[in-house]
Amino acid sequence: MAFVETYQLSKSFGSFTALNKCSLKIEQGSVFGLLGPNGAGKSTLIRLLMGFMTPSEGHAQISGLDCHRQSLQVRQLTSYLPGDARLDRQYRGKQVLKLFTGLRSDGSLQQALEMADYLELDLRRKVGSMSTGMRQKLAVTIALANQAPLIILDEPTANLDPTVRQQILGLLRRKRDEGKTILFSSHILEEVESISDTVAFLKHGEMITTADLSTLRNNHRVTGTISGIFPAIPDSLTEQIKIIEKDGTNLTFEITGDILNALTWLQSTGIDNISIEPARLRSLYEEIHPERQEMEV
Amino acid sequence: MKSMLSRYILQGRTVFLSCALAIFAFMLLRVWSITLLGSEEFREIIKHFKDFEKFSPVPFSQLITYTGRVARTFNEPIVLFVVLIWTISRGSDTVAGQLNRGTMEMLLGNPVSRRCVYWSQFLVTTVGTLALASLAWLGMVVSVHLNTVQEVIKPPTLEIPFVPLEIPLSTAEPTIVEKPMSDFVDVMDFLPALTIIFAMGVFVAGFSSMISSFDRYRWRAVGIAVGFVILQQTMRILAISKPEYNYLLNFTFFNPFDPEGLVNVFNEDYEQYWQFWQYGMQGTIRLSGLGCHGILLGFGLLCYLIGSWRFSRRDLPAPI
Repeated sequence: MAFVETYQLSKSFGSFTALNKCSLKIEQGSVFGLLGPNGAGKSTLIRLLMGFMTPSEGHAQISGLDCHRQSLQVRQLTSYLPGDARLDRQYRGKQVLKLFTGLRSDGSLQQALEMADYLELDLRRKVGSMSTGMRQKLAVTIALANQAPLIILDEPTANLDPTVRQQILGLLRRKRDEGKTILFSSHILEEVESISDTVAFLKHGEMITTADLSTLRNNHRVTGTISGIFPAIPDSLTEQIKIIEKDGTNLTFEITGDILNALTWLQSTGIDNISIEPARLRSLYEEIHPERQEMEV
Repeated sequence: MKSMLSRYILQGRTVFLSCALAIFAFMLLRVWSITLLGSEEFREIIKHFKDFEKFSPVPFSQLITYTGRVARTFNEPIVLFVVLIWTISRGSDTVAGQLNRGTMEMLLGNPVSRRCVYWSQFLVTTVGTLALASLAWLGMVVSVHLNTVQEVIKPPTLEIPFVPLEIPLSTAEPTIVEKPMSDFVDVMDFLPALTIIFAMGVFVAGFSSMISSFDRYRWRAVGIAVGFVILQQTMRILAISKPEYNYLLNFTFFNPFDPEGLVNVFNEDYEQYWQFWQYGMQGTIRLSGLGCHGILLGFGLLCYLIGSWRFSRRDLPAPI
């Protein structure tokens, strides 16, 4: 049985459907990335898993517990970082850590202090006088300073500079190595790609597809130019070669699996200026969201 | 629960300390101000306001005694104002305040039940309200024990029956003696004032918390609660100004909130105080000690329960 499972999970606000019949499964110990532009339904899905809202349809389970009806038990198994994490501004950093670790039986102030030290947080400062990035680091520390088997993070690296992003990703890798299950959403394809085992793409509240990144990493993207007419792809390679884009004489292909046979054939077609790069999430993302190719990478 | 309580104590600390200082200092000064005017002088002044006796919760004959005048201090607008500031500010913060600030989601991301969040606030607000009411009483106690009053002792006179005439039996001048105020006032007589302020506070806090549970904006919850208090006070004024609007008294919490009246009943008719109702001279029925407290505490707790029910079932909106 999957550790996290949703079935036909939907949430509507009046006539607006924020999430529509979303079904997914996340295995224990895996890292699951949620991708999608603003308003795709990522946060709604996460907030439904946390039991903050009643589903309009369908259900969600974490470790066999119903996320809505058994929300308290679910939250005992879950450590959560909201997309817009806000903390009481009048507290000092250390007070906040003390308060939040005190709320959990598995919370550890010692672990939180070590993590804060790693992230170079000044815990003497009041939350109100911290920069946005520092507040985010503090919130991440709160979310990770416990032993919950499931970690749910809604855009954990938003508002952070590249160095701190890497530090946070490092912390997540450490948690993954400890066997924790991680579900996180992000706009940044590169970081999702670097840490996730599986990714899911959401668009307009619907789950468009899920992709296994180990499979995706076997794919390549090939671009080149052709002066004449491009011949038909032989039957033996139709499964393997897919034309992604044709712009005048420029062609872009995606090659699945072993690249050698496909390249040999491509060379025979007279294509010049061939460049090969591993297929990235970006290519998959652009297929799903062709209108959003300017998205941050 | 312990972490939650300390969080809410820390959050409400500044408002509480300000309110505590204000209510204690006010009662200290207000009771002192009573000593500036002797009972006889006060009787002379109040004679001119006979037409306004209907606005007074107790007869003027009671009001001119030191006990009556001290009881009046518990019904001063500043006392009411301070208690309202505390209860509305804390009550409105219960749900809407935390949603408005966006801190609720971070809090409920942990294994903390919504009931725990809600009832921890209730506990802190209620204890704070009791502390404020006690500080009002304590301010009075301190002032009563610190201050003295001047009493004019007239030479003995002979009253002629049926004739408004008093014949002095001595040619001596009236003498003025200074006595501790505590000789005239028993501070324990004002315990009903303390408890009714507390009960009123519980009611207003309960109402504010209930509104807060339905809303996501704190300013709106505060606005509704303040509007409600103003409406209730307007209803009371209307009801006692015009006999045809007297029925409105049944719909305002300012009717059971009657510190002076309760102190009066407590001292004049102790047995009656512990009844739910009391009967007036013209056969009118009004709430007695138990009734006033029961109504305010009962409705306050009912509001709290409705708020808790609503909060445990509502969707939590994302931070704005």
